[in-house]
Amino acid sequence: MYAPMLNIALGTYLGAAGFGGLHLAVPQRLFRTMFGLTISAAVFLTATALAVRWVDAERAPWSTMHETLVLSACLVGLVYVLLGRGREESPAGFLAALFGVLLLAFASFSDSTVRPLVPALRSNWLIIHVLFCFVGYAAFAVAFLTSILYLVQRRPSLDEFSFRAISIGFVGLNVGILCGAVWANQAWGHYWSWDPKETWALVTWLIYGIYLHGRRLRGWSPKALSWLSIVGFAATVFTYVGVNYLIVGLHSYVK
Amino acid sequence: MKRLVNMLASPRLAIALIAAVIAVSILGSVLPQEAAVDFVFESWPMALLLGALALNICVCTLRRGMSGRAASAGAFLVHVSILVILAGALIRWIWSEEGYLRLATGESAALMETDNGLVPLGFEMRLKAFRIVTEVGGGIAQYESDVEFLPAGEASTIGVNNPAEFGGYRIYQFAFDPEQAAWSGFMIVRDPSVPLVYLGFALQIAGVSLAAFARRTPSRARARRRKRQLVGVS
Repeated sequence: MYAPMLNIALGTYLGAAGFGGLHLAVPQRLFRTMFGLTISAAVFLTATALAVRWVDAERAPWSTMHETLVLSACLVGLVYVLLGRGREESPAGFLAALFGVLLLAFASFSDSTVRPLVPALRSNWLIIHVLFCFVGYAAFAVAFLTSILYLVQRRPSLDEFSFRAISIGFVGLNVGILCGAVWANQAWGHYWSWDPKETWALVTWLIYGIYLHGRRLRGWSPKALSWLSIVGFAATVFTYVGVNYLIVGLHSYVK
Repeated sequence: MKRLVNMLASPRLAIALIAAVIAVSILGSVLPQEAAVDFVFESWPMALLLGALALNICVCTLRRGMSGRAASAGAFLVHVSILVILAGALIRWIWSEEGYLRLATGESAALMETDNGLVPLGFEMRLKAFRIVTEVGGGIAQYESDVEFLPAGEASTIGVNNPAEFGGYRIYQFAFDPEQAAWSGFMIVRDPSVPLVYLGFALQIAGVSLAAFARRTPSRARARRRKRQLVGVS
């Protein structure tokens, strides 16, 4: 049941990318409407696949690489749909849908076996800690896409879009880190232990902190801010996957 | 004096200090963790850097003050929360205690091992039983120790994610005998900074949420619309 659902979700994201691309080539209202419908459906179907996985695994479906890739696909689409609603942002929408396709494709190639969780992960904190962190990652991913587009197209609305996405991501990552700290205090006896994943989450949060200060207080140019958003996303990706493979720490069970 | 305050309150200094914390953190993350904590994260230069950041935040926050806008109140709360959390970190650095205790089944002890030698707990802890709880399918659900605190005689079960609290300490399931389950190891922590740091967490979540999601005041929204019309973006 889960595997076919995931394939349908992947197909729907592909369809959304198709309509997005079509709207780029032929800017007709119909294609835009179809894009909006398919990407919303893709988010819904990915969320449904996660719900099925939740029932199958009898735990929150975001504790393996495979599962967090699916979660990321769902949240990237969701953040885009919520922020991009009613706006003329088809290149960004096309890229967001393509990003969803990429994440689900990676997910389908990664090991999807349901394995029992180690005792340290058996906590309700897992549900909100991981969920909020990935809301952050997904929003930063959307900001990354609109920042790249800004550098190509120089439309002020794209810069504004990046800012809104980063604002959401900043809150998501912040809440995620703090929930993680409370959980760590309960599981390991320290709310902060400079574990590499913790450290990199902090680094990522601080980079976006600089973005917000640069924007609000220093009036940095949209171009400079777009580059900073790209750097921030590189740190995000390193926090998500890089740390697990390159540095050993308390979070290394994620492998 | 005024120039010093101006320099301390500048956003440029704030950004430079955040960038320095980022650089130090990245350096620490690539070193082996034990060494990183001792020589980077809990070193005097890091303490000075965080102290400078705290001072910068204090001066900026006092100077800017709180205007009536919800978003600015949010930013104010976030900065206050960072100060609260840093104060907690200082308290933890100075006053937290941590030790280790290993007990065989049936054994009891009143001392924990710390970096500074054996430290009396003020009570005696006895291990009644240790067990590995498995579930259908072979997964390990929990590592659990039944313990008793003497002379009070209070019994408790300590598991992963489920520490016990006694005599001002929190006691964590930390290690066990992998062969015969004949002993269990506990980490024992007293950290007086936890309530303050949690207060900081609550303030921070309230602050970032307010800053990000509070409606912009009508006048600013109108100004933005006017600007958009001028630029010609829909």
